[in-house]
Amino acid sequence: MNLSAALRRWQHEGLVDTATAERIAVFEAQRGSGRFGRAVIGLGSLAILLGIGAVVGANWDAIPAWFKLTMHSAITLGLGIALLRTPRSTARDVLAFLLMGATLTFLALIGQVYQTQSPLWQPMLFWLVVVTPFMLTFARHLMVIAVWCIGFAVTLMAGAEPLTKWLEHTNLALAFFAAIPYLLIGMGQSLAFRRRLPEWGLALAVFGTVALMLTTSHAQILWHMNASLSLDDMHQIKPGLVTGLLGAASLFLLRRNSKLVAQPISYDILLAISPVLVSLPLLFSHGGMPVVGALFFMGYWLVIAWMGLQTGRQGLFNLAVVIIALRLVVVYVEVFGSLLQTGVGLIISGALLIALVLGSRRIIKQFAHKQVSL
Amino acid sequence: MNKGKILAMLAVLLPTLALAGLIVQKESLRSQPPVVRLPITGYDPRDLLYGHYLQFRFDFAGEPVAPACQPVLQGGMAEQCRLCVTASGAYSVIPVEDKTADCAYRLPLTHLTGVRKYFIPEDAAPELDRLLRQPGLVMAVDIFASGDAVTYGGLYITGEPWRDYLRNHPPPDQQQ
Repeated sequence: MNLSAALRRWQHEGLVDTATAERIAVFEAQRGSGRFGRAVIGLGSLAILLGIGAVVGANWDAIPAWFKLTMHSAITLGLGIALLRTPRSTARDVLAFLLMGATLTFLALIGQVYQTQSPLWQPMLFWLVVVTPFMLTFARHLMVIAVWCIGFAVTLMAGAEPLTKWLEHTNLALAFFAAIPYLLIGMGQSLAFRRRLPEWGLALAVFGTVALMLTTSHAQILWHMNASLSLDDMHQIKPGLVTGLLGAASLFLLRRNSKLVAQPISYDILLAISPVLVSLPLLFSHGGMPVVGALFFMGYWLVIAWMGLQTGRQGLFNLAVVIIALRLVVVYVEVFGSLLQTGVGLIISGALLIALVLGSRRIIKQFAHKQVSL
Repeated sequence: MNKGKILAMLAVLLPTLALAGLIVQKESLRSQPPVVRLPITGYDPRDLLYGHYLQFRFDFAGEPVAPACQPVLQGGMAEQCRLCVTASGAYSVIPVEDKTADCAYRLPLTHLTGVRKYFIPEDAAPELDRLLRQPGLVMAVDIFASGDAVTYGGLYITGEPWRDYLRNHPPPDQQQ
């Protein structure tokens, strides 16, 4: 935007007087001075960094392994010292993020130099153990904590197979995985934890809740499959279901006793129905029941929409409405897919799509209005 | 210095210290002579290379393998068997419970069976890929071990370190 032209326009419309317009012009001129210089210095620094990266990359094989390891140690140590000396700020979060990344690349370098043959979960677990203390101590930005959460999830996924194998004789493998979201939510919503580490509390609670919502939604795809499980499989599923229900009940009771952050009843209902909906498609033999799966899926997202309204998270409510609408389209294709080959079918499909979009928008607007008036 | 500052300092030093410890452990493993040099073979003629990793299997086909451990040749039963390396460097695959064999080392097979990988520089990849397919050419990897810890050493082609071999035997299209 041309500021001079905008100021003239605002003066002409009587929005600002001449003195104010002059003060704004002077302020903006002072603010902008030196910006070009800083931009050039920034570009120059970036070019130097890229150049160093290119030179190192091109000669990677020629650089002795001991030198690479020493340099990486120095970088990791330097980042650690810088993190220690930086007061709480965005810069400190950036340093924590960089140290987290440098630790991972250092592990990769060790793997490369020593030809380690460890399965992925081992270096990931090592990484998680060594980065968690400094992350808990210094990281406060939600985006940086979210990266740690992703690392935690990757470690868990990478370790799922050996862990399942290790626990297979106990029938507790699914129970272990079912307990994790509830433990994360319990820790994240614990008032004692929130007092000490509020940002971590929020991040862990959101992480646990999102993991539960994604797992439950994804599990509804099991209704499309032919489920005929052996007794062994059933012995794995039931402990998982019981663990989930116990987790939900524990969190509900702790909340009632004011040990956890207060949440509306829709949230506790969501926690309780999730393990049931995950297990249900596998609890009895069936030859595939896609419509039932769609109904459960939409019912689940209705509860999420309700939770969005009760907690005042309009974005979550809007997302839930859109997801339910999209699922309705998929149901239509699943049930009346053959109609799409006819002209009349196409007309009906188009009308249905328009009706869904308009209906969703109307619901979102209506509830947004109610939210404001509450 | 108060307790909080000491803990914060330990927290930021932990990654460097732990990784340095890992390097020391690997170096101490490699400070001894290799336990054995095992021949390797490509495991899939269509895709020997995966990124910068040469993918291979250890080739136990010409060596004694106890009947109970035959599935090891296909990459299975790694937990139930061990690689018995004698003082003279000969080796065989024996069941874990076989205590009668005269072994200087009993290496766990978890890192010696199935598809393994070896990091190589990108520019050497096509030639190593071609050599691994070449019949009659013996490629082998040094194995360092201490207790149950196993790590890989150098990659050799007909007894020469792979870099020396590539230098001394340039590919046909680069020979003058």
